[in-house]
Amino acid sequence: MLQLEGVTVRYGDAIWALQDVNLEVAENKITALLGANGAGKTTVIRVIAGLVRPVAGVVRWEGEILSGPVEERSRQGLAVVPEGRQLWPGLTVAEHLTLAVYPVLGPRQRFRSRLPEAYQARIEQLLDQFPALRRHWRHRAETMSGGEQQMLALARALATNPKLLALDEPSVGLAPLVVEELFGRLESTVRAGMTVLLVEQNAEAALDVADWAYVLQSGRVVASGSRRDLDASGALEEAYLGRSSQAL
Amino acid sequence: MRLLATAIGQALITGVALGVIFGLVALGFVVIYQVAGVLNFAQGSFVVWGGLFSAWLVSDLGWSSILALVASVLTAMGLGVAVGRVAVSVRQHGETAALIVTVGIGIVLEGVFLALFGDQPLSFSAPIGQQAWHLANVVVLPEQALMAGLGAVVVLAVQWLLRRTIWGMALRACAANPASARLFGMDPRRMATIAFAIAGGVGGLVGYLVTPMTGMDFGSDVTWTINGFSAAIVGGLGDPLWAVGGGLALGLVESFLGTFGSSAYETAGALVAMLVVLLWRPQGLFIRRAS
Repeated sequence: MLQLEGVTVRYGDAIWALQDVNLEVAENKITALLGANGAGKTTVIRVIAGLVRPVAGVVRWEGEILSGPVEERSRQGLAVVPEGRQLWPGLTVAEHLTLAVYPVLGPRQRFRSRLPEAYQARIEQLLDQFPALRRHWRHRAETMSGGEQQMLALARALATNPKLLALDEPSVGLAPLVVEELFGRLESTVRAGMTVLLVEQNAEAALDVADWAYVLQSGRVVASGSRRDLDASGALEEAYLGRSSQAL
Repeated sequence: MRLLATAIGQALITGVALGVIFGLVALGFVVIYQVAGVLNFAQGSFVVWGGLFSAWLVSDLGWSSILALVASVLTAMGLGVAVGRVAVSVRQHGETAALIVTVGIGIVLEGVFLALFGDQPLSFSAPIGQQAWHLANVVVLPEQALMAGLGAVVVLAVQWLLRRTIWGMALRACAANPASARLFGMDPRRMATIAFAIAGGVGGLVGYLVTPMTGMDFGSDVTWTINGFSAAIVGGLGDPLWAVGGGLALGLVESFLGTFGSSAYETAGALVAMLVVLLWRPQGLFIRRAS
């Protein structure tokens, strides 16, 4: 469904954030992208979102090369939950979910005070899925707990009913039980027909739900496979701890 | 006793009219600060442009005051966009750099206004009648009523735009977290430029409204900037509506100072009020301190 083909990203003249990265996110599956801090995971998300332009390589979306701006990618069915949730302090839960569909609204619709019916119905669905957000509907996002804020970030990304959801380190700063709930929700979104790219440092939790995983080290994909493959190869240990092991 | 009541009533009327005007200038400060993260010290220049340009159009070219109003507001918006482009591009080097650049732009614009309109104050006839109204013994000038009325309409319109429309929410989202706003198809730089346009238009309107009463000269921008900034600080930089509250508070302080003290101390009064608020409630008079 989504392929990165030879993607290379450079920050400035010296720093190679990604080097010849090839990976595929299969439809209706959870694909995990694992790696230690600084491995280049967030850059992959930024490339997919259209925030960073690779110096080489392409991103294919349903067979076509992705090159448009962020809002075009939203309209094509891509959604991102950024690292650290990146909510809008001072804005209420209602305003967050309203703005979630901003990229797919027409210019006239943006100057109205209410969303079109179809989007309102979608937000109602999300509030049924995330009852805490209904309770906090009129509250500013920053007044909610970390777990609730992550749910808001997830609901905000789901509002446009995307085909692919890319999440950047969603478990950071959350209690294990909340992570379990969050990843459970990801599994149910996949059952409902969505595709997920899960970028995680917490390999253990991610592999519990992922169908396939890629391991990134210093901007390169060093291994890929199912949980069993990765466990057998020791590639994860090498990526996280720098121990040597045979590549897959 | 009756004289005192009349003086107080008169000071109240003058203070409210003046306060709405200060509030509008403060609103410009807050909208720009909220969206672009820039303290725009060229804010007074928009007011001066609105006043001088209107006076020139009406007195020299014989335009109707309504046309002059539209032209002044539109050109002030254009001036806002131009200032915004420069300030926003400098903003990436820090808030202080952007602030200093806006001070510089204000000084340059003073020179431009001097060259264009000369060093003498300009004025033009008020767009509505000259007949004052009397409420008991208190005199209400038509210009004051126009200032307060039109000012209130603009404040409510801006508030509606920012709070009630999806676009206004996007404007605030860009201010709150530009990186995340970009992910949702918003363009923070464009939004910042629009904020400058709004502030420019509101400044142009203020210039148009006050010039028939007080006249306007090329160097008035400093006074307007100080008063607008003080009002924004008194109200708190967090909310356009509270900035207008700050403007009203400041307008009343200046009006009572002028009535019962000396009008020479009005601007000093604004600065003292700002300092007192900064020491006592640095978040502004009306905004609760964040916990």
